[in-house]
Amino acid sequence: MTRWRITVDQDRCVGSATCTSIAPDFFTLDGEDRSCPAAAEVAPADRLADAAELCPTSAIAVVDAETGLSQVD
Amino acid sequence: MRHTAPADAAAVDLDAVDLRDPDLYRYGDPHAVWHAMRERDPVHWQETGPGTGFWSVTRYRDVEKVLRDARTFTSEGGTLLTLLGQPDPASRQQLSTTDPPRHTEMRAPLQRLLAGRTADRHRDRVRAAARGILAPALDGEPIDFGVAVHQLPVVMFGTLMDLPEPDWTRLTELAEMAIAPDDPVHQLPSGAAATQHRAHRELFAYFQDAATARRKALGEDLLSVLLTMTVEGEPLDRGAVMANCYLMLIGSTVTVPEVPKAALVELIESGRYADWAEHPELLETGVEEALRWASPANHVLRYATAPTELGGKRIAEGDGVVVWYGSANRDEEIFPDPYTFDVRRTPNRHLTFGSGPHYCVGFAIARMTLRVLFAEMFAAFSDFELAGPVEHIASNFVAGITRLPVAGKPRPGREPW
Repeated sequence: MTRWRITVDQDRCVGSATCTSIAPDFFTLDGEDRSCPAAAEVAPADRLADAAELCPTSAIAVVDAETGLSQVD
Repeated sequence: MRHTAPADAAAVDLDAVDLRDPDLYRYGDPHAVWHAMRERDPVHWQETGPGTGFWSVTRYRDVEKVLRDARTFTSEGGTLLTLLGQPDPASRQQLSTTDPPRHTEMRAPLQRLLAGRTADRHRDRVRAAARGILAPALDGEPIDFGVAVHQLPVVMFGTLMDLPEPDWTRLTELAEMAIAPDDPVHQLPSGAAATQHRAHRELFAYFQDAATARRKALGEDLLSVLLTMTVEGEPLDRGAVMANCYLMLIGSTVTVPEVPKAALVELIESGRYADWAEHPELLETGVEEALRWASPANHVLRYATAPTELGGKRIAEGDGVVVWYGSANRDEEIFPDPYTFDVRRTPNRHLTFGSGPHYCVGFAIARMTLRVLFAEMFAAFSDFELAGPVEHIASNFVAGITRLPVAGKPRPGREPW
């Protein structure tokens, strides 16, 4: 079964909370309002790819856990 | 206002400075004031009356802190310095004057529509508009780029809102009147307050009619999104829809044109136009630098919801806190050589789109529009020169240029449009 790996570049995150509003199950905000993945590996979901694509600073990477290929357009 | 290095920041008397005064931005040198504040009093109290005033925040890290912390620094008391101390009628109705979590629910559907893929879909339309703006300069005659380029961002606003094209020019004029009513270019003979009132009335009536018609024929457009979104279990009321139409108009049409204007002035004056124009691979980093350089929105206002500390100053509950984007974007601690326009600058984490929950929702559309415009400009013209005096806008909100007469040098043998 395919799994996706999520990473957030904390240095680039500007805390717009776009990801937590689009894919609330997959992201949380830390004490400084920077986004963190709720879990490092998850089952594929469209809204996760959406959240990564809509991130203002492209801080979110979503890759196939096995192949490492990006799942964002 | 000039965007270049301040002439004499040391001579600035911070006790005498009034950052609210529109004429400071038309005739003066706000960068000298901000430079002096960053050095001497980075979180500066300006008194506006007995016991009243506001804090000016001028360093990058403090500005970022305020913008990111919506719990301590609320937007719901209003976000514009001209309304300091007065309740904002759009509070909790307009995206910009609403805090999370309500804000988050309003923002998500708008952010989906204003995504990169929407920007890509309309690229050709923006390219055609950019060529339309530049074409009159192809015979070498001067054009007023300061006026002409205002026809650009309304193409995306009008298209995404699905509004009739013949209305776009008037919408742009009204947006300017609303946001810079003190400026002689936009002011009616009856004065600044009447100018702004007239613009607001006409815009709200226009959006009201558009919304009434759209309710009967909903589509995939931005207005339909506003009319159908649910926030805290309820649709937006009529006033909230209007307030957000207005916000989207101002947010796009007033700010975006100032980026190429400020950049072009600097490229001409520094003689560096050709350096950028001859390097298409620098389009993206160059546009980010133009965004940093221009910082079209001067400020945003927040109010402290609790006593707090910022830059060593004690901020009281209820105090107005104004962050100055142009200052943060020239902070020497973050940007080496901040008064140099460097199209190769990386990293370039400018705050032109803001930071935190209110990060500009239209960033993808704005970036696409600017990249297309600069690419078209560089492809058609090998250089520009000034063809008359540059005039700056009288406004504490928008760092703008009203008049920018330029003459272009068309490239020989260029591809015909």
